[in-house]
Amino acid sequence: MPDRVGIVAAAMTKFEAAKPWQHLAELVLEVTDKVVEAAGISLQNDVESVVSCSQDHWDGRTISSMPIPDVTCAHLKDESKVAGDGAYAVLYGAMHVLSGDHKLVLVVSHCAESHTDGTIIENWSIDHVFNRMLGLDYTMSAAMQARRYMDKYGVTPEQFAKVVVKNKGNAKKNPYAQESAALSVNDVLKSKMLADPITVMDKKPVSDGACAMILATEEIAKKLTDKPVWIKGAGNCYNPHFLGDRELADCDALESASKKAYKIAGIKNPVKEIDLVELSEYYSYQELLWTEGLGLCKRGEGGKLIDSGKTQLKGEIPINPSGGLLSGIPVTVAGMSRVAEAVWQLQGRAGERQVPGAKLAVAHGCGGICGQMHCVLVLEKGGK
Amino acid sequence: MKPKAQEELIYLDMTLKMPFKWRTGEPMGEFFRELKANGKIYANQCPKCGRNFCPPVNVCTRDHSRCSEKDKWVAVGPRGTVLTFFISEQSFLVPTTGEMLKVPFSVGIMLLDGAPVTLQHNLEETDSEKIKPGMRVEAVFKPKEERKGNIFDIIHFKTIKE
Amino acid sequence: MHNRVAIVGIGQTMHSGRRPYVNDGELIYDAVTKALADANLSLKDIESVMLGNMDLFEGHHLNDAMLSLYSGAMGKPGFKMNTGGTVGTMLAIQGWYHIASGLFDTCLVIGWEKHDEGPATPAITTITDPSVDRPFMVGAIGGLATISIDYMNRTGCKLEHAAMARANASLNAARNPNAHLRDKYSMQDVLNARMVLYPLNLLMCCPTSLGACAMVFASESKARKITRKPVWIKDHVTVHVEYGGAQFGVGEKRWTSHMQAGSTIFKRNHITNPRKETQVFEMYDPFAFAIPSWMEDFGICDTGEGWKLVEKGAIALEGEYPISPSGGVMCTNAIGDSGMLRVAEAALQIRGDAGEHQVTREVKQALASGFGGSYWTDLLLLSKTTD
Repeated sequence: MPDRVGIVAAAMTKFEAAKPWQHLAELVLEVTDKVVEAAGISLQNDVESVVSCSQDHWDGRTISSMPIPDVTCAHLKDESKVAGDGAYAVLYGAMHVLSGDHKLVLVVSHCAESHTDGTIIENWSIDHVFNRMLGLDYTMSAAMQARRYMDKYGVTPEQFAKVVVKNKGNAKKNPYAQESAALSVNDVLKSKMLADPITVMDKKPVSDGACAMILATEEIAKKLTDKPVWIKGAGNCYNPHFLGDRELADCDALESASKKAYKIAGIKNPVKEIDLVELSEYYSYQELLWTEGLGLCKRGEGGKLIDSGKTQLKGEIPINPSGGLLSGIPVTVAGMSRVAEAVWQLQGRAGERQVPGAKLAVAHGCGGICGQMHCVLVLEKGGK
Repeated sequence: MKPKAQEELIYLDMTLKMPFKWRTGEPMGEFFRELKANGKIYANQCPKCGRNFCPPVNVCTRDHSRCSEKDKWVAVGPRGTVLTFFISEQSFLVPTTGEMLKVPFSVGIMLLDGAPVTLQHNLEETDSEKIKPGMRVEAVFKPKEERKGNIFDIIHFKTIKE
Repeated sequence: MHNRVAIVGIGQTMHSGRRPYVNDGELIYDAVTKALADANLSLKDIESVMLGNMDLFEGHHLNDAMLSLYSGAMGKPGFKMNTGGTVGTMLAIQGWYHIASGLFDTCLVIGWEKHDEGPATPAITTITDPSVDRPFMVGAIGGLATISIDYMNRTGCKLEHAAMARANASLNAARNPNAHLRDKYSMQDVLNARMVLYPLNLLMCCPTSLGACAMVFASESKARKITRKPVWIKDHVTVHVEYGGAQFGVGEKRWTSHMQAGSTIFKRNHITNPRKETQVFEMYDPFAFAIPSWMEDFGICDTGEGWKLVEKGAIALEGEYPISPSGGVMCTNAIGDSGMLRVAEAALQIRGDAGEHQVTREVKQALASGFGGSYWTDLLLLSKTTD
């Protein structure tokens, strides 16, 4: 990275299946207040810029950032909106700091999936000329991708189920998690089928919540905390949109994004050098597929990786020690919440889900149909 | 490139219907509860800078001070002064209901009595000769049993003489 | 300290009200190919692609991903930002951050909108809070009408002055082959137009157009190799305000986002005489009264002087201080590209490449603004040289 950008503090709401007692702006207010307190700064005087992250379709509001300046004290200040996954908003906040324009930035994302029907919104992200009319949503598309993945590389529904068992189990240790459970592979396989091979347990549940973090220059980050987390590398990339234009069983865009992020971070051997990964698995099979794209195993070997036990909480390279998206995180917030979890791990603040001695973490966000676009951030522990 | 003369232009007709159950949250929710139960319009005030807000807010938009304590709320209106207004001769598709508004219709921004806050709502008067900035108006409420806890619990603001 | 950023390629489509034989992807592709040709680059030279528009207008969620084939984003980094009317200028600023941060050396930013495919007014109405204001907002025009009435009351500006500003815009647009509305109007023609919402008549408000604009940005080291005429993005500021805007700051001194933006840019760049030290302003002027009133708000002239400058003809192409020589937003308005066209057109003026609508003075520094949301502002200062 051209310079050091520090993440000083992160905050999230507890994620819940529905939070009907809160206006969308109140979700943002909650995490803004939490993160400002955690960072020990003044919202009015220290925050120079707000990077918000929300989706117009999900909020049912053109310029869904309209209420943000009210609750982030951004009247007469710079505020801008990323319309995509929260990990991109963290990257954009980092650009604000790297450019020298703003020394301290508040980054915040929100989404209340429960206040609308997400399958309609997913359908409206699919090209209107050829595929929207089929009534496709992400679950059906995911089923196609999972099936292709199984056909090409022989991964199995049992291996997908292992992801659910692991993540729902990890979530028991996470006070922010929406859902946790002690499950067996059989429990998952026998649960209600949505679109073969995706069962209801293989799918991320509907969720409401928000996440925020404070980014700052190296100098300010060091003043504010003895545990700054440095953004060491970043990469992002788009796949083609039409599903048939790419090999769904491979994730070229994620590979490109992670290679770029690792190059900037100076990582030569991801499995050896990275201590933990928080990735965005909207469906269980995606965790296996994304581990391949993140270079943690060879193509087609995601199933073998989970079988090996290395990605368990106490394994060599824990994946989603937080419980991941399968424990319940809304879209948009998802990628940012991965960064927040990684930050807490590197700051030693991850409580019972702490990966001991974590120094280098990868956080991943993605969006669009079958993970059309990906963003990878490499984070490094700062301080002692 | 333009299609050849005998070719048909192919369109794809779609109507976007997205169901929402928007949340009002704490102070706005209470604002509507008061409207519904008691026919009262409330505003609140920042304890630090004194700025007023209608509907009431959780935090001051200028200095972020908490101001949602209900005991500090002040009832405003039902009378007010028209600051500015518009009258539309053109109908309009309301995105939340899918209906076309009846024309002519007028909307005013009213400075409400009781605190320096404004509220936008329909004016009963739609004759441009008869609406002037500075004129006095009063909120007309639906009968209590018809109120639902939304902004249409106020039917409109009627012109009054004082 | 940031890396310097230059505009090295500009491309725009023609703009119109309806183009049923072109789809959104083709529109974007048109602008992209033109921008790349202008920069004499190919897609492989571009490191990041940002596509922006207001997605609820066409009813497509995540359409940056949907259109990645046409924008060139496929296989490349990029992400979407959108902030309402300011989306075009926001994209330029997003491009600036990509390069100024040192993370990228080149990028492509594309702003577009295809209003003929969706209902613009209901879509824009959804910017309001669903509970309180949404039933009473009829698109953007209500708020703009009230700003106009307020300006007339405060400064003595008359309907005629707004009509003069619109007439001047029409003369500019007539010289701009890419503008949407290109008929020439006199002041009286404008006054005779059908009233829509007092005091704004049909000609005094912006149309809904469709079109796309793309620009290639590069870091200093690359820019000088790519083109002999880089246009430097010298400074920029974004000012947002509380929801509800600040135009009814009841009981407080009037201070709008435009006022804050203008004073910040001029102060930071030691500009004390904007009409001398900058030579042209592509202003985001979505309604006729915007020109005189926002000239004052930005600090181009003193309060009460804006309509007098319009009256004198100072804002004309050959005038003392041309405003929106492209014809501005009243002649062309595709929301996603309206803001970007301001930056692109200001850059063309600096390069001397604006063809028939090139201003007569030599342009060394130009201003470009964006406006949208609940009275949000972007202001960019472009420059011919780096000093």
